[in-house]
Amino acid sequence: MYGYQKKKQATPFKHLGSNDLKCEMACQANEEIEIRENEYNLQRRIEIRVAASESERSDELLQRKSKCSMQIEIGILVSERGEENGGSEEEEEPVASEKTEMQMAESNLVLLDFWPSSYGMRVKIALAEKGVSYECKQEDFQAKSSLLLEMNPVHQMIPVLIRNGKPICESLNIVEFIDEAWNHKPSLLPSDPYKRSQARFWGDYIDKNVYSIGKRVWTGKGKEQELGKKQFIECLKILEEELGDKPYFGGENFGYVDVALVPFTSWFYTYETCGNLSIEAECPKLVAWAKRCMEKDSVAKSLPHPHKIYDFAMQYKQSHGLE
Amino acid sequence: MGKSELKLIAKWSSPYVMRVRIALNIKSLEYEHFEETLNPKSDLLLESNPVYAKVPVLIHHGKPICESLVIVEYIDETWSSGPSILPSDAYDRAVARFWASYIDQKWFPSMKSIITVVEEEERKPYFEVMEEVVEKVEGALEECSKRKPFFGGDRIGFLDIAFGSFLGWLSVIEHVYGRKLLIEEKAPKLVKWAERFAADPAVKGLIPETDKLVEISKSLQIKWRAAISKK
Repeated sequence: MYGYQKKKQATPFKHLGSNDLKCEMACQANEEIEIRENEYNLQRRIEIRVAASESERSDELLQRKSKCSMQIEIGILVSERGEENGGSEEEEEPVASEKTEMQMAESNLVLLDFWPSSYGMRVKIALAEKGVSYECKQEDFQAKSSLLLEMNPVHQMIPVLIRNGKPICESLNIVEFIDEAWNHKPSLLPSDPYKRSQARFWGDYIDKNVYSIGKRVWTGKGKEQELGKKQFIECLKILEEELGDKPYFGGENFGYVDVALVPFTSWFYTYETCGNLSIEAECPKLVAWAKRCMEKDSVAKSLPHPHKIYDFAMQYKQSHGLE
Repeated sequence: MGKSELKLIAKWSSPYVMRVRIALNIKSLEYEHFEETLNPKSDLLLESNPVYAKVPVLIHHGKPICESLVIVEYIDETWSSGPSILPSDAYDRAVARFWASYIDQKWFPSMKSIITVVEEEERKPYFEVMEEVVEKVEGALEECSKRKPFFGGDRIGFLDIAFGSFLGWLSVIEHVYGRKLLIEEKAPKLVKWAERFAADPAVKGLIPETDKLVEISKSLQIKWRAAISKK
């Protein structure tokens, strides 16, 4: 097996097996770790270069910084004996198989949530996509917890993600933070700046329109509701046009805009029942997209059943005199 | 970077446009400035921003980007070799984006309401909102600047741009309604920051003169009041 040589004080690395190459992530500022094999007959050389902007040291588990930019280059040279992996320079990023390590590391991650909130669902989906475990605390809006008031004094709203005691507020802000802080695949935002700008634009559009117009559909009456219904369908049609024939808003892969919009689909049954409309009839592609998203574990686990949302909506209307 | 590659659909009085211009200045970028009339809206604007038909719109290699803060982030990411606009740390970025979003939700809508409403009494709650914003942003400055001159640290950054772009319109409100909001007693750090911000090379000459903004605020008042009475 391979031994390793450390230049500086560093977290221990797992042994690198000959056939089963695994890399553990360690984020340490300006540190270069060389791993050299003891057995020269295989002639493998793995260089792992980790560059990060900040460093925090934890006791035993993986070290994680709030911004981690990692470049892991694995160069595998073909040995003279012909290793089965072949000789090619591969660039590998840590992928979902490293999740268990991350789950262990994230013992200090709390999400303040309210289960019917589409905004809270966004964060749950993002965390599920990244395979990060966390503690979820339900808030009661009649009696907001002191933790919520302390962590989000400005808005006193959920969701709030609290990492090592530090809060991040506003759902799409949190989603972007999650994408950056756990920057392994799958990426939620594209890497190309233009595509990122388009994703942010549409996330912002969804924020400005879907909830506020949708509310007029499920709480409104008479003319106000009719106008709300018309505007709501217009809004969904604009989004449907943006989706086009792509499987997801993110293209081939589920991404940021999908995360931003899909939670509202758990409210579709409520909008349709209260508003006496059929979203499928008006926006069939969007409904097909919603079904496609629900096939993903991260989405299916994070969205409540539409009937539960409907029951909640009815109770809400009753208690607020909106019947 | 040739001028033909970058075009900005702009309006001299818009604080949102100003944000983009500051960002372009920070990166020392040349661009073609297209002054939008808005009445009627140009074909270029309607084509490049079909969703909102609003300025600013940045057009890079023929591709449009809309919404001021989205554009600022795009500029920062595309021309990454220039001075950074957003903080390098992910948590600091989340904090900056939070405050920028807060400012957008509270600040301009309050200003607009103050200008639009007719009665003095109706203005009071909006002034209270603006005072609350000043108080909170003073706190944000303390938190983000880490004792340095700007929200962004040694140089102006995302949050400086997001808030500072409104300084021109703030002086309109203070001037026309005789109520100072950025005052020494309530926001000592912000008062000093405002002077530094206005003097920054990337900002110089971009804050419109108060008199000119006061003029335009009168026609905006008529327009906004008319829109309400139509409803």
